[in-house]
Amino acid sequence: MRASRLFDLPADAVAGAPRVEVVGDGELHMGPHRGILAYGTEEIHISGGSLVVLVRGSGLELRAMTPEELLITGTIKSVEFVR
Amino acid sequence: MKKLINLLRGYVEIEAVGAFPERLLNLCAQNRLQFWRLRWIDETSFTFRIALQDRKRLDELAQRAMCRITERGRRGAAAVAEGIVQRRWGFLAGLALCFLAVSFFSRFLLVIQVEGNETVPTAVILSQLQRVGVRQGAYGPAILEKEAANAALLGLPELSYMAINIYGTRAEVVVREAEKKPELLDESVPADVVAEADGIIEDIQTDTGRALFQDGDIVARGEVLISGELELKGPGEGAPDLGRLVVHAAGSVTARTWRTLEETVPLTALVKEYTGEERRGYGIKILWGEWDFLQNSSISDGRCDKITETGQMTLFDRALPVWLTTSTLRPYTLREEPIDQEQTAARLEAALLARLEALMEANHGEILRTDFVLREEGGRLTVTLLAECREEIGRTVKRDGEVGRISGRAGANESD
Repeated sequence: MRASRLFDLPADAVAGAPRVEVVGDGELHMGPHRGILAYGTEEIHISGGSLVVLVRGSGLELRAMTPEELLITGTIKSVEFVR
Repeated sequence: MKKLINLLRGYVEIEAVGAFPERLLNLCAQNRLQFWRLRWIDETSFTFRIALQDRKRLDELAQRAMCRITERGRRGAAAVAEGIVQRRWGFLAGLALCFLAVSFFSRFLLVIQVEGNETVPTAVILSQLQRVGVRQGAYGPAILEKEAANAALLGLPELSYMAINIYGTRAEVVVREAEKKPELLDESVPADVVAEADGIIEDIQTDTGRALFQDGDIVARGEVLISGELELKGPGEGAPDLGRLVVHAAGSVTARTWRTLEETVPLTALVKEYTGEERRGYGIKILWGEWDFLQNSSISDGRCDKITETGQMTLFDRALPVWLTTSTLRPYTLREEPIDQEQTAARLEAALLARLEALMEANHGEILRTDFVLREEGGRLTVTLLAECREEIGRTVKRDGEVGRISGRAGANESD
């Protein structure tokens, strides 16, 4: 992260930090990721390497998942990053 | 659209149970096993769907994730097909047989159609085609159409053209009949015109050669009517002979003739007397195979009539390569009986008249008068036809010499 700031480069490109993209409150794209840590319809924990992404909401569903990225749908209420 | 594709590909609904079941999802993602419809049951179990083709790999991943997986069901086109393969082998065998029948048996000839023949019977053409390998049941791709047509033509001089076109199980044979060649007069062969029958000449016309008879002369069979040897004389009266020129004599000689034709038959005839016993046998012929069944072999005596009726099966007016044969055996004994003389005589008279008419047709003649004589002699009935006719009696017969060659002078030959 420091290196990316030093060279004015996007953090995800240099450090492999996860990129989280939320479309409205119904769709969340994340990549790269390190896998799912916990799964439920109201909360999903995703490993992002140095941090864990907590997605909270209702009717959450893992719609697609590849080694690089994943897609979660449902009603997203919050996205929290935990170190 | 995605649902449709999944349905076509087939999918399995899986229930996974384990201490950390989310590990299984991570492993699936890492190994690019696509899954969908994820439903969490409780903290340790969930259900999801994967493609049918990924089912085997899932077992290994579940083992690694320490999860127990059970199948809840299989759905989709591929799953149905897989079920058919596993359980309905009879249906599959039938399907394979149908495919085999369509792809393999459709290459054998079932129907041979002959077109374009008017005077040459179709049976004759089919018989010749059979000799060269074009027959019902023959393997179509093995037939070289052009070669087969040429080979068949060699045995059918009445045809000038033949083409064989094979369309699946049907062979179309297109033929053109040859025009009858006119009889050519070979003038290079020395010949005389000779009388074919006794008679009185009514008209003698010479085209080439020298007439030896005149109208009204009586000629015997075998006599030379128009000679193929011309005597050459110099100009002027009393000029010396220049020799003899040999030619191909030609001309027509119409004469009144008297023909005698005769037919004779024994006064008794052997008549069949059926014993009343009758046995039937049946047979079936399919393509090249022939089977006889229910043949009765109890009639071992050779004296019996065998009547065989063969019928070809058809379907929608199309002939099938299946023939049903019914054979009837009727044993008989022979008994000698006197013939009905009046009836036999009438039959013989008709036969003699037919023979005479055929003879006159060949000789371009006509029948002027006929008379029949019947007589019994030595246990035989003889009918004689005496007929007065007008016909062409001149026949060209080859003679010695060389056309156009002049042999020595007549006077010189005499002196030799």
